[in-house]
Amino acid sequence: MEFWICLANRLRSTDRRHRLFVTLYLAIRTPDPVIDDYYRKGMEINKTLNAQRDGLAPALQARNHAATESSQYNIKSLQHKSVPMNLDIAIIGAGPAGLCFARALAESGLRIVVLERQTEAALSHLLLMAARLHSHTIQHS
Amino acid sequence: MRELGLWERIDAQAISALRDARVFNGSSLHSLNFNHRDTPQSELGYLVSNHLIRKAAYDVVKSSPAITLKTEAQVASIKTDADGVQVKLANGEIIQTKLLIGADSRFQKRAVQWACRGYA
Repeated sequence: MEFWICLANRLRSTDRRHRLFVTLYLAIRTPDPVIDDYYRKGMEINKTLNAQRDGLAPALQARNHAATESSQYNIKSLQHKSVPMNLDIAIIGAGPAGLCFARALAESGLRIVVLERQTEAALSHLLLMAARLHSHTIQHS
Repeated sequence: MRELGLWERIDAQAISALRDARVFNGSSLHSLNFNHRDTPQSELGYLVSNHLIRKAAYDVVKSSPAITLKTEAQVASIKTDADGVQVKLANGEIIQTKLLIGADSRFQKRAVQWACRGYA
């Protein structure tokens, strides 16, 4: 056995044809107890590894499933607006002052939001605005 | 207002020039007089309805992509920390910002009160 390996190693560096021949010879030659032992041990290890892999499969699947679930949850939570809106300036009140201040900074490159309690229609329709009477306008006597 | 692009959005007919002004104090017959002839200008200022200014301001803000306008957004709470301000809206939405400006009129001192509480 050792002889053949030595021969194979010697030929490996010199001639590919000889190497092939020796390898083939080793393969078809009568079973060697040492090689057989190695082969048997190798197969046993392989079998054990396969069994372990199969045994772990359900656990791995469960873990992947959990990971997918959690990523879906993250996307859902993003859609649910629970992730804070990140800004530079927030202005409360879309009155003349708030709107003009926002407009004055519009070219600065800052991220600006204007928060208004009223509806969009109340801001965009002239009639709605003109018809509005503020309680503080009425003087109490 | 010219610089911000508001002036051109207001109808010239809706702008009234203030030529002279008289300031009275209580029941006093005397007044403090301001005359535009005392200045190099032909008027002291202009009178424009508040709702027209507001509409023009709304229009310029809407046409500016850098500004987000959130309507029907009621502020529920304001929290300040070392990173900035966290504004929570009534609908549960959270806005994280570096600077918060209270411009919700002098009659609604909510933002100012919250801010003062944070620094007290």
